[in-house]
Amino acid sequence: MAVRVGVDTGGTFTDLMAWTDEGEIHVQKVPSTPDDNTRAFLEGLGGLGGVGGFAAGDVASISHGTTVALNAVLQGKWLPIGLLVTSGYREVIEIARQTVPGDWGAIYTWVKPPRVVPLENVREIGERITHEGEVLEALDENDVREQAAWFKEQGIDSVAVCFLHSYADPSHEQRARELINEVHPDCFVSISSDVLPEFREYERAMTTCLDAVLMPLVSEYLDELTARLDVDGYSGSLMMMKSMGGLSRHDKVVHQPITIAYSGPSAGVLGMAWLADKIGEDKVLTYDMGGTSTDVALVEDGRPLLTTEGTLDIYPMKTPTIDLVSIGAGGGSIATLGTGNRLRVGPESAGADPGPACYGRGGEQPTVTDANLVLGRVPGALLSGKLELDAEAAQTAVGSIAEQLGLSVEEAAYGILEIAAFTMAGAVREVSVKRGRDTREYTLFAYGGAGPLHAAQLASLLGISKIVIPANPGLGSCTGLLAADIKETAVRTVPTREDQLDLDVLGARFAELEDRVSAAVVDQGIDASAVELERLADMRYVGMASELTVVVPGGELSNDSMAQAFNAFHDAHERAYGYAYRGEQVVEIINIRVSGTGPLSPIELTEEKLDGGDGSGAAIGERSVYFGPDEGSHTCALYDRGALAPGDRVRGPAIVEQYDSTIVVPPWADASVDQFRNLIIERR
Amino acid sequence: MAPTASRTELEPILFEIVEGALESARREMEAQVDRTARSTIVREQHDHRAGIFDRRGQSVTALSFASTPTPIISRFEGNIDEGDIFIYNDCYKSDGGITHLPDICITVPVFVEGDVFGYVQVFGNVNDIGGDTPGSVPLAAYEIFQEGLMIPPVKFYEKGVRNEPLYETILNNSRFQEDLKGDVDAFINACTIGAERVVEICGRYGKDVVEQTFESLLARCARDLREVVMPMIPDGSYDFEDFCEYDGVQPREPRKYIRIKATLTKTPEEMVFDFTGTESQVVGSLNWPGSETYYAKFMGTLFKGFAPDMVINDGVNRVIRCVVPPGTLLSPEFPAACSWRTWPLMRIVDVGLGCLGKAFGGFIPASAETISSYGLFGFDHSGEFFLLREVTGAGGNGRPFADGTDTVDAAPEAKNMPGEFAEAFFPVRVKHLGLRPDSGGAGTFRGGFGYWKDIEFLIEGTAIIHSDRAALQPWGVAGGNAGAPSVWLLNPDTPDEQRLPGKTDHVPVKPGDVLRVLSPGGGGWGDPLGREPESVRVDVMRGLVSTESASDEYGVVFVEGTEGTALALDEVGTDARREELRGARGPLPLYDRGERFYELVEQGEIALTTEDGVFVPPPPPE
Repeated sequence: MAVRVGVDTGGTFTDLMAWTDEGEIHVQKVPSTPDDNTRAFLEGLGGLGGVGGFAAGDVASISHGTTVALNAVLQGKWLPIGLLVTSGYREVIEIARQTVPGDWGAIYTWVKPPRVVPLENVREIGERITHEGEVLEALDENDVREQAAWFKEQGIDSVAVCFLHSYADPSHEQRARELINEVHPDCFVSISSDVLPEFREYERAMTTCLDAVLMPLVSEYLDELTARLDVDGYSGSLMMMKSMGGLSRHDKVVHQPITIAYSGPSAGVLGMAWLADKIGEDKVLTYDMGGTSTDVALVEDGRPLLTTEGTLDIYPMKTPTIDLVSIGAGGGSIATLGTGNRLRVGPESAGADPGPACYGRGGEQPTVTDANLVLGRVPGALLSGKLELDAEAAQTAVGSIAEQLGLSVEEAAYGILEIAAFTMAGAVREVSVKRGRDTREYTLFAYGGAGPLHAAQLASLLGISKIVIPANPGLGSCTGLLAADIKETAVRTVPTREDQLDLDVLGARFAELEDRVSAAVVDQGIDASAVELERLADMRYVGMASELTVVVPGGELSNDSMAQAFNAFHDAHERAYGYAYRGEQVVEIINIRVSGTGPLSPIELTEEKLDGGDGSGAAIGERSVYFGPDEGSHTCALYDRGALAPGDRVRGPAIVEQYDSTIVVPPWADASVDQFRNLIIERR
Repeated sequence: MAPTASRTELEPILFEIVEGALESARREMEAQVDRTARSTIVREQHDHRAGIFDRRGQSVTALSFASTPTPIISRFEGNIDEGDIFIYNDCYKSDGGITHLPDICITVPVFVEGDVFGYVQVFGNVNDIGGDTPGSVPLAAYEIFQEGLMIPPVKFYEKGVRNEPLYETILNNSRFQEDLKGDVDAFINACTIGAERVVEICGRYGKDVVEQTFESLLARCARDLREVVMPMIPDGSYDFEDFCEYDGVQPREPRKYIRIKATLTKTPEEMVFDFTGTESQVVGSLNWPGSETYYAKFMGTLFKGFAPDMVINDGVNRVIRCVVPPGTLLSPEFPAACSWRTWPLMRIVDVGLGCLGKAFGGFIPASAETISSYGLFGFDHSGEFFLLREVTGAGGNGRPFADGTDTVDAAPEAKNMPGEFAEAFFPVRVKHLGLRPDSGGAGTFRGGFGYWKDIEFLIEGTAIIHSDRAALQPWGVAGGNAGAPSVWLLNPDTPDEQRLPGKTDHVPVKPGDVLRVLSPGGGGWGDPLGREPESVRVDVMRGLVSTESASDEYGVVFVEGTEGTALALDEVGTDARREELRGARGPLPLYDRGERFYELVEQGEIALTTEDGVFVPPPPPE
């Protein structure tokens, strides 16, 4: 038997899913072990083998999504790094872009957060290369040796190198890396021409520093994990999910750990993308709501949209990442009253401890979960009765706010959910509107523990009329891990105007990138003929500050193929911003990119027959639920998700309960179970 | 599916949600401009604003210094159709909302159920609209006619159809037509989106609810000021004055300093900023043709620190009043030049803060001069005319709770120009991009460090410099020292080194010349001898404060022979040095305006008409 396994390590649970060559799916959920994440990984893996009846030797490959890198940064748990820059640019990180976030007046109150590298660890090196790759000043090798020795003496074991215009000629950075390792052999070195060969020195230096921060952490984690897998007899390859939604073998990402910063959340989006493709939804909004945060992303034609304007905690990060907006609104988000009794929900969270007031562990402030309980939307006990909820504590907590607002407890609770939904709608607008997307054309895919509970309210705010809740909303990430392909990318800054195009030069640059990407995919066991390459270019009208990425046709680069690409840019501009200057203004290329995919055999779903029932067989009772001042309270039928059969259709309002989630079907919609056991909620 | 209009019973929450929807519409408009505008000043400096207004023209979104649609309303009310788009930049026909010509303002009426429901507006500082110098901000202008094309409030699109001759005429007046075209289209597009959003919000929540929200937003701003902010300010009168330098036309020497003075009178009912005592309008381009209601909004933002949640909009005018006598720097008469109203704009913030400092015994941020600019124009290697402009930040204000931020720009989301960007697109080499050591005013919380940038020119061309605070310094407060003034050098550290004036439109440069930009440091807050010695050590260790400044200003000395990361504090020596400095000085001033200022007072070139006063430290907490 050959088995592929997906392992998603989250903050609370580690989820595992196996996909056998006999077409079987097995799942396992174990508590995470944040003190030593590999423990839950291995325990879960053993358990999964027991459930699925396979041995370590049967596992052909393991795909892994993890928040280990993200959490290390969020919790500030990293060792000081060093940074080498071109002479004259020592304060590049200090100054950043001289920006104060916020509105006028923010300069009086804003305090700059700690820098990723303290200024004393930033050292200058004599060298200079122009943007066209001409060497003006040779690399001062003694400078580099001296600084490497200083880093060694200071106990700094990870160093970023960012020289000016290194995207145009990486030789100085590459040589600096060699020199550092000669003097300080145990030092991790991240060079900017590897991490992000694009212009704008602050963003590139920052991204390279983040890479240097993650190197020791990710390296240690992967060493430990592969060692334990070895001991337990797992000899298949370990593939890591990257932030841009593809897999790379662990020994590749270890050299560029920044690429797995959003490994965990990306896996979830990819899972939804795969499901969307399967059921023919071409415009999808993914919505993952957990205890403390909510992540949203757009998926079109089965592919998540990417961005290069992400952030890691407070730090800008320019590596391509699934365009995921994360906000501090979750089940544990606390509702407070601000100046002039303004109701706010989050970003403060009651977390797991003390948790919402209704957990009865000492929490007194009202949370989103308390509001849900007050309204009757969640049952009195969660996780099949393992977690009893204290309804009275929830009433008291929400009551304190209701009184100050002059509202009934139910109205205040509903208000908390409205504000929370509104905040989440804001996050959705960030991913959609700034790209010129109209959310009304999209289908909402809700997952994560709290996503299915709030999906209807969010959909209503966004004008969305169709919601899909996957069969296992808690296992979205595992699905993504088993659906993903190997993906490698490369980029290079080559400013080129449309009217000064040199096809030979541009063609050669694309060919270099293609060779590099192709080799990286082949190296991971994919047949060269199976590698799918795609050319992309970031373009803008001459003089604009931001670019749009469009596809460049493959094959030999010709005036025709470039004309197609420029035309695609005009289209993209029109789509994103409502107008274009076709034939009026000159386009320029800033970066070219190549993406290479190595297809893996993806997981498949069993299609079941639709029975056309009314769900009455799954009915488990009734509960009164408050749906806001317009709708008032309804007596809602309760259903057991597991007992609903494909083809069953129930009328809203209704509540569907399952082990790790509760689904609200609002009064304005019906819910039906599709052939893959997804629950589809549609406006009547 | 959505619940709609009838939900008035959920008032506080509904209000909150409609407000959020309006704010997000405004932000969306601004994001749209950021992404699509062409001019450097618009997109990198974020010098553009979007606003949403009610049908009387009152701003209902967070202020962000939007202009006003009232010039459109007064001219066209009753003659406004769907599809109309208005344009103007004439400062003297803008009701004080547009105050120099490069700010092109687009206004789009919002129609709901066939009637004008409100307006959306975007204005931004375009690269060039004609006039004496590239960039359309000629320093030496003495009439607005020299500053560029003046467009009165006119219909740019009539029922959806663009007035092509007008469009062509406007473009024809710019040195950078493509940029101007890109900017104007970006503004129009952003307005169209904003208008659509307001219509959607009305559709979702009901027109009446949104209208009611408009009024509630104005009322809430006034209420927050009255109920939250005003009780914190003791009743009384507080005055302060500050100065702009050289107006661009008057002879450079003897230097003329242009006074801006305000008296804040706070009663239980209102706050009045009276600008009587402000200098009369100048011959050069420093005039600011704003209006009293516009200035009131400006002063309103000073109070944001008092109530972080507070949203400042036109409701300010119900609580804060500005009085500006006619014919002053802040109320110039047509056709006074006004390209550089930027400096009085910076200065009235200082003056307002200074008044508040007297009310609060020094517990306010110090002064900072975080906006100056320089540029270069000429023909690049391919013979194309170019204009490089960068707005440089400077050291931020020392505050009662934190150091000033190093090298920042006060304008929201403004960005500097990366060295790699400048080199890839302009004939320059950026040799140094860093912080300016010893520039932040010393204090318990020091001022931020200014910017230090060295730019080498690779072609023959003309450099321009636009900065104030080149002689006078950003003041320190509560015993803190003033920050360093701006310094501009040509070919620094060479036998040809030349100190350039802070304001000039004409410095001929040749290949190999280097311009050094040293922007001001922020004023410090509090007694420098009260600064944590460890903070001083870190600054010295990082090479940002000299050992001389550490010893002479902060009274901090180090163990001899230690340096770099091993630099060690000499605690006994520090105590002794601080004792010595304390003994040798008088009472701490409430404001320190810097050495140069007091020299000028001695020389009789400048005089204060108000008392700066003495800082009385509060008694230590029990």
